Amino acid sequence: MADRSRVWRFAVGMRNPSQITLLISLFFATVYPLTLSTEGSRVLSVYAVYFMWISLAESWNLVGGYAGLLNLGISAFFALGGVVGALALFDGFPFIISLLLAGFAGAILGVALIPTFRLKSFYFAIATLVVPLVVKPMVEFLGNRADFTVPQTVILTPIGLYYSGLVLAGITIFGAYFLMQSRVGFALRALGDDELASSSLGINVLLYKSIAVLTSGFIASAAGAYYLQIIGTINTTLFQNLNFSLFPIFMVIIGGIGTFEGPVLGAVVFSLINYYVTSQFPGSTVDTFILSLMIIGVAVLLPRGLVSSLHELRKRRTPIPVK
Amino acid sequence: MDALLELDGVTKSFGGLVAVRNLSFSIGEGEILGLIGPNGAGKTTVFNLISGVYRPEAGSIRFDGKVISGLKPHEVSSLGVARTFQTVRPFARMSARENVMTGLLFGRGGINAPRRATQKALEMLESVSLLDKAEVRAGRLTLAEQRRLELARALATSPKLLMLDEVVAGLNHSEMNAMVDLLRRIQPERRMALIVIEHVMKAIVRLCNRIVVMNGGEKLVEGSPSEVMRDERVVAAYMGRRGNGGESTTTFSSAPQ
Ligand SMILES: Nc1ncnc2c1ncn2[C@@H]1O[C@H](COP(=O)(O)OP(=O)(O)OP(=O)(O)O)[C@@H](O)[C@H]1O
Ligand SMILES: [Mg+2]
Repeated sequence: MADRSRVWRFAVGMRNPSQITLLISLFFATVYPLTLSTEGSRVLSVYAVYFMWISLAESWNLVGGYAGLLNLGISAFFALGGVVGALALFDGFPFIISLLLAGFAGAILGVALIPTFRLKSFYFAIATLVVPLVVKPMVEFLGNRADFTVPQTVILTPIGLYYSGLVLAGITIFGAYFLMQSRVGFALRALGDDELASSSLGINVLLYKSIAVLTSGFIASAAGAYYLQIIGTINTTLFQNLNFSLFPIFMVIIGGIGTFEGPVLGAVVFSLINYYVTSQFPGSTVDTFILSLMIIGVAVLLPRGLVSSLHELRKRRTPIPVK
Repeated sequence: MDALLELDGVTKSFGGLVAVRNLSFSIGEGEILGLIGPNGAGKTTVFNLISGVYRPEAGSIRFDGKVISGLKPHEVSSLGVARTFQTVRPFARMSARENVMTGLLFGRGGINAPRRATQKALEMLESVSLLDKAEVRAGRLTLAEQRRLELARALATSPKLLMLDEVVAGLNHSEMNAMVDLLRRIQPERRMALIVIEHVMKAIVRLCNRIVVMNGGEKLVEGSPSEVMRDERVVAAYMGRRGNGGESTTTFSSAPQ
């Protein structure tokens, strides 16, 4: 017979401070535009990139952080989403549909990676490096061009851009949260740690890896269609743009790999630092150099990221109850 | 009486090396069977064959009336076969509680919502004396704790057959006794069959009523612990490997890592 009160104490009340912080931030992000004048609301488009990075980092984390599959070419999903989004807008579909169609295209691209699951996970990483090289020329051939510029008329207003980004990021964050709290989340984290042990418990490794890659692909491509709204044009060079493949990884590493709030924190912190460093050294490659050093520093000093380090700090302060 | 698990002429080789050759044995419901043999005899390979990690080249494996050779590991698991690993394989980044919850969520107990698995997981951790480590990352536990965690995680799937691959290896004397006591307590109340691979004879003798001895991939002898230990072929097999048979009543060979 288990000692109920002791068991109970572990079971309840595990509200974690970073979750509360996140909820409060989302609340402020929602009401913030209401404090601005019509004129001042133009600044809102500045925040769009944060929402975009949060979604992209969260998407990468599902596969790379939880399921332990290294995606080195998320830029291909992102760029494909941008292209499909542009085509949808050309055809007169509204923004929301362009986002969804882009998402489905990303999920289908994810299906193309499923055959690599039977091999060592090393081959998945190689395949993700190859995907941009294969998809880019295909898109250029089928679309018969490399530039997908949409007319200004189908671009969202700053306030529309802001709120749709907030919704995109919000759905991504809470989607990731609930997914990871669910049975699926347990399967992904388990197989990310040990595939053989997972399958011995009844987890269909192939199925759950597929779910992760499809979901991640959907989000990354939807983020690409959102990016199109930010800059108004997609060039196919985006498929091989290293920044878009690496920055989400950096963000996840900084924030905390395999945690759902890590990518959010990492995306914000990294974007701020990136903005600052780039503005200090305009037009040089010094910024990339500094950012790279910073990532190595974080990986060495805080291997489990900011979120986990904050948790550890808190645990150390809390006295451990005597058995 | 129909056997719960039945191996019939099972063979598996790696390249030129025949790891398991024409092996047949069976185990009934609720029975405890010991599987012993010198290093490299093929014991772990037998577990990998039963659990679907490898497919036998010849012969068949039946479990609960169904042919399971050829099924995938997760399919075998959902029929009611669980196992632990010779080198522990905890989900290192998950807490001890989450490790056990994973077993509950994907096992045959019919629990699908993590919220409903929490309480049960804590009770199971308590039964293996790990409740105070419930929120510790499994990667940070000691080897003895990880072995108990792996046991709890396997039990969480509600197996009809549990296969233990050297669960006392690397444990000190009192940890070993605690583990054996734990198994003797858990096994009858769950009415599950056990196959135990073990090098430590004291542990085997305290647990099993029947032992299969393997050597060079083949079954050498089958019988009660005392019959097996008296058997000349068994003693010879171990002596042949070790070059001396002095301490073979306690440990047939030094436990590998
Ligand atoms: N995946 C594999 N590839 C190649 N050879 C293997 C593989 N698995 C096992 N073997 C070989 O098969 C033989 C039997 O190995 P197995 O691990 O089943 O032995 P064991 O009885 O469990 O030994 P131990 O007591 O050392 O754990 C050994 O010679 C081993 O080297
Ligand atoms: Mg072995």
